[in-house]
Formats: sequence, structure tokens, C-alpha cells
Amino acid sequence: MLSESTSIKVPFVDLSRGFKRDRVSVFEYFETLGLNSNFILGDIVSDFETRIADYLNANYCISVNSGSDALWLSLKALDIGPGDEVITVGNSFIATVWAIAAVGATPVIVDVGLDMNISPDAISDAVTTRTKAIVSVHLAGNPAELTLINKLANEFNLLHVEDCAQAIGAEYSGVKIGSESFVAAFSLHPLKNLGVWGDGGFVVTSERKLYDKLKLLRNHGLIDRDNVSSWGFNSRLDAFQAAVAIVRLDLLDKLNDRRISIADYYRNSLENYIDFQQISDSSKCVFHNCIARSTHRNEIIEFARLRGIELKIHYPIPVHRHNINSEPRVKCGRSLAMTEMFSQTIFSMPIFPELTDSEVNAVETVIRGFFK
Amino acid sequence: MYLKNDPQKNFLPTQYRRDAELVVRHTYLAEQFADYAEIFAQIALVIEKGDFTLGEVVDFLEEELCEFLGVENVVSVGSGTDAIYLSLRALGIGYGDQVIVPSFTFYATAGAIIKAGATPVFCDVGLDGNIRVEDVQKALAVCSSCKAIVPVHWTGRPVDVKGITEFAADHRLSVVYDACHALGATIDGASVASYGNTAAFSFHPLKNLNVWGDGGFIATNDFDISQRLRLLRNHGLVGRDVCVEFGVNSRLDTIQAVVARHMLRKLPSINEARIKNSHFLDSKLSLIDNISIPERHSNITEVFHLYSFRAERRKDLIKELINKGIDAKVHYPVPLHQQPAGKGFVLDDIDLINSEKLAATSISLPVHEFVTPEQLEEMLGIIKNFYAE
Repeated sequence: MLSESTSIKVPFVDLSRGFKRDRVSVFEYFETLGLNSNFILGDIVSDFETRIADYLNANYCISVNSGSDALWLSLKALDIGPGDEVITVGNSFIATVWAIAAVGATPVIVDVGLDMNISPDAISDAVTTRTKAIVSVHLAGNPAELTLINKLANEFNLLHVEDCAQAIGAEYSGVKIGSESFVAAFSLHPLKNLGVWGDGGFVVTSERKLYDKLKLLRNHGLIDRDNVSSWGFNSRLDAFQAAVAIVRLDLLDKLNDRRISIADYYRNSLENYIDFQQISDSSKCVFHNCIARSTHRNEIIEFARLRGIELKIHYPIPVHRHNINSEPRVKCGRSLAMTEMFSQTIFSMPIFPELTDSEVNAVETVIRGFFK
Repeated sequence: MYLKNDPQKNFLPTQYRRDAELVVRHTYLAEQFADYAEIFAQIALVIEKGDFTLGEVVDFLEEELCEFLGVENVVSVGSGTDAIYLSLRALGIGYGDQVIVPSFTFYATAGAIIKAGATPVFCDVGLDGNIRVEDVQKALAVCSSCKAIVPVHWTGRPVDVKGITEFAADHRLSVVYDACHALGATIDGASVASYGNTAAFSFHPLKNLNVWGDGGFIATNDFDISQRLRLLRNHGLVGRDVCVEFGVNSRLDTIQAVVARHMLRKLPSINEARIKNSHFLDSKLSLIDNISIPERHSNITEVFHLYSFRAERRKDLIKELINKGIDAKVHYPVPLHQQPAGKGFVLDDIDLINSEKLAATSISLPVHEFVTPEQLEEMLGIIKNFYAE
């Protein structure tokens, strides 16, 4: 163990390390395939979709331009729109609630549990005659209570859309997140566990009909070059980014394992000082973030900063607290006490897989030092 | 269960393979990016900083485009489609508003209007493929809540911007130019980007300035609109943690900005080659009675994203050209009002006769910088023989 007076600087994230590892393989891959193919929805993109479907053991995969678009297009494909209510959480990145508002539906924000995911009780409490769907989030890569949520969705006849932006490779009861999902939206943003060199995302679904619809929606509604069946959008994964994703998909399990071992280390050695996001024994969380909480949150962040350790907050302002001046307005569930509590106490520790052991030690030592 | 070879999966790989069998193609990516190693090196430099999203190279590109176009603000976005869509949103156009758009254009022009929540009103165009003031006037006469016009500089040929500007001002209409074909096009020496509330451009791999995927930008001299666009393209975020309005995720990847800067330096010579090839074809094709080429005007610079003309017996001519290895294409054979997607938006009182005529008779030939003089002669030979028979 390192001494308390460590002077190692640890950034919250350093993407350049992964880049230096991957660049030769990515350039080689793109050189052989990309330049001879095409940059828009060519063979590389199809190949990526097949590989993801194989990896997740999902029926269908369709790539799009971003994780935000993956969620938005999923809701579009399900014909959710003005007049409909969609139940979701307020402690995710802004894009989750945005996607609901963007199709014209009313986002209904309900509370979360200690796992920081949507609370099944809060769902039943918020259902009205206008409720059309639930958007659950597997926050930080921690699977939500899928069995209970799906049961509620059945009971109230709601569609269940999963925001898996942070959860690629995560497992619920031994099954990969997304593999049995009705529809699940993933992100390939550079910071994600499977991150590319720009924006990207994809949807997996068990339904052929949804897949067909999404395929049209992402490419102007084009059936072939000359015929448009319905108005669509332009939301395609670039071939170059698909090449990056293919190279990195081979490394994903190893990188996720590294995240898990760093998280285990933090969680074991700091459990007497701070609380952590609750993770079920039957789940595999892939720790897109390692989220801890303490009533001394702000002091800890400052204490760590002065010692060269960068901590962050995901996210300091819950979505219903943003001053968003556009229709449709966000509705709130009966109580958002847990969401509020988390926003005031949580902080995230460096968890990117390229961290060295001594950096991980330094983070742990500094945080423990705060409580001495 | 996952159907790897599902023919319905994605039509483009099949299309690309078919196009690749031709000798003179519209697509020329391998030749154009023969110097890809240089681009890789530049990408490596920026990516080492982890600067993937809205990185500093994006800012550099936007500045260079301002200079190139002589406009005050450029905001890069995820695609040309989004450039139109975000322009409309930034101008406050949405649900309940009508937007006049030519029926003879690529589907995205109307798709962007639908995405903004507004209703497209299809109007006709002149036989050069461009919207005229009279077309806007006729469409406006049957509109009840028209807020904007989206004229298209079709093929890279500037529309009558002065007429449109005057008409729009008289009728309090916003103007968003679909300039996706027209980067480098000018009217009396001024870029098409200097007209309208905004002008939307595309970096799609087939465009004159192309990147390695989707990309686009908006040019505007209105600072407030540009600020609004910067918010809208990035989730409505002011800083990391404050969201003031639900925007979208529509950003030009930093690595695509690297490719765009590389290509911007080549753009003048790319456009020059297209213009030279087109003028050569003009001089010969104008001698053939069965072909009509648009009249050229000396005060405008067309950049010929497409070299398009009307031809008799088009179907057979295309067949003949393709048999001989020439990638003759139709941009596009079905006008928007005749697409299944467009049916709900057709207003009875608008005549779209030119749009239908163009869709039925237009043909485009490759004129990019890698088409050789011999290949141009070959194309001409095939066409001459075709009509001589």
C-alpha cells in the first residue's frame, strides 16, 4: 500500500490511454475495409451490427448516430407521442428524459431505490390512463430490477424501453442486458465502456417489426435508393466509428472485468467510510461509473482535488430541477426524496480500465485519508 | 434468429457492390483518400488528447469555413439533414407551421421539416431544378400558416436568391437554404451562404467536400441564431450540468472535422475540376437535339455536385450507359409528392408539373475530379451513338 503522502495525480478519465492501445488496430482495420467500402451504412456497419447481436445474444441490432438517438428512435418506432405519458427517472443523463420530450410525450419522473434505478413501487404509483411506457435506466451499468419492472409493464399494459447507455456487458440473473429486451438503447459515446471516437449508438430488439421500422427511421425512410415509405431521419453510425467499435468489442469483456476489479477494491476497502450504489448479488454491474455517497461529498471532492485526485458527480442537478423552458413540461411523481438525496451526496471515483494499480491505490488512500 | 444475409437488412451494401462494378463511378472514395495516411496522422494527434466530441479542431474548422464562405458564423452538426432541421428549430418553426419546399429534391429536405414538427407544402421548380419566386407565390396562395421557405440550390446551382429574399421579406417568411449541394457556389462573387436566415450544408461522403461519415454545418450571419444552434446541437447544455432547453445530440465528430479540414484545402481544385468537366460536357451535349441542358449564367458559379440534364428516352439511355460501365444515375426518379411518405401532404391546387417532368427525364453523369478527359469523350460517344441509331 502506498503512503498517505502520495503525489500521484489521477484524472477522472484519460481517453488517450485506450486510444494509444487501439489506434494501430483501428487504422489497420479501416485501411483494409473502410476505404474500399463506403462510409455510410456499408459492410463494416452491417458487420458491427451482426457482432453486437452475437455478443448480446439478441435477435436484432440496428446502429444509429448516438445513444440519445437510439432511445429517441425507439420511442418513435413505438409510436409514442403527444398525449402519452412515459415513466422514467431523473438521476440519469439529460438525454433519457429528452428522448421522451422529443417525441412529444410527457416525461413523468419517479423516484429511484438504493440501487439508483427506477423504483417498481414508484412506477405503480405513477401509472395513469395516459401512461404508455416505462423507460428504465441501468444506471452506471447496474441492472435495474427487470423482473419486477417487466411484471408491472405486463400488468398495466405498458411498453418497456431500456436505456442501456451505460450497461453494455452487464448481466441480470445471468443474462446479458439487452439480450431478452423488447427494446434496449445503447450508446457508443467515447466515455462509454464500449466507446468509439465520436458519437454513436445502437438499438437491440427482440421484435422483427420494430427492427424494420428503425431501419427506415434511421435512413430517411428509404426502402431503397429511390423510394420513401414514410418520413425518417438521418441517424447513422459512421463506418469509421463502426471500425473502432469492432476493434474495441474484442476487448470489452477484459475492460469490463478491469472496471469490476477496481470497483471491488474501492467498495471493499472504503465500505466503513462511505456508502456505495447498491448492487444485487445476482447482477453483474459493469461500473461505467463507481458511484459512492457521503454527507461530506463536497468536502471530499475538494480534499481529493487538492491531492491531485479528480472526482466527479453524475449528476449534481436531477433532471426535474433543470429550468427547461420548452413543451412538453416534465411531470414529477409523488416523492423524489431518494433522487434529491443522491444528487446532494453522490460522487464518482475514477474507474476507467486503463488506470494503473498505483493510481487506484492513490484514490483509495486519499479518500480514506479524509476520514482520518 | 439474427438473419445475417437478410436481403431487407440494409439495401446499401448491395447498391455499393453494384456501383463498384462500373468503370466510371459517382463514388471515388478510394482515389480521393489515397493520402489517408496523412489524415490518420492528424486524427492521431487530436485523439491523443481524448478530444472526441466538439474538440478544438471543430472550432478551427468552423473558423476556416467562415473565412472560406465570407459569413460570420458557422455551426457544425451531425448531418446536412440536421443542419436544415436545427435551422428551423432555431428560427422557432414547429408544430402547426407550414414550410414551402420543392417537391423535386432529396427526401431529407422534407424529412427535416417533419422532424421539426412542421408541415411541408410541396411547390414546383423551374426546369433547371431550382425553385422560382412564382413557385413560392403559388404555394403561399394555398397556405394558411406558412412560416418559412426551404429553397434548394439543386445540383450546386444557386437559386434566384435576390428574388427569394425580396419575396420572403414582403411576406415575413424565414428562409433556410438547403445548400447541401452548393459548397463553393456563388452569386455575383458572394457565397450562397450569405443569403437567407441560415444556409445548411452537408459533408456526406458523396458531397464535393466529403468526410468519412455523416456531417454538416449551418452558416448564418445572425449571431443570436448561431448561439441558439450551439445549444440545440448539444442537448441544450450550457456547461456540463445545466440544461436550459431540450436540444438534440447532433455534433460533428472531431475526427470528421479533421477530415473536413483536410478536404477544405482541396475544395477549390475539386470544384474547379467539376466545373471544367461540366462545361466541356455542356459544349458537346448542347449540340444534341434530344438533350436539354439548363441555361448557364455568367454571374453565378455552379459547383456541379451533380451534372444533370434532361434526356429523351432516358430509361434506355441509362441502360446503354450502364452496360458500357458508366454510372449514369437519376437524382431522383420519384418527386416527394408522389412518394408514399409524401401523400398526406399534397395540396390539390398546386401544379407540380415540372417536378414530375424532371423526375421522369433527368439523368446525372459523374464529373468529379477523377473522371478523365478520355472518359468524358467516351460518355459523349455513347450518348451520340445512342441518339444516332
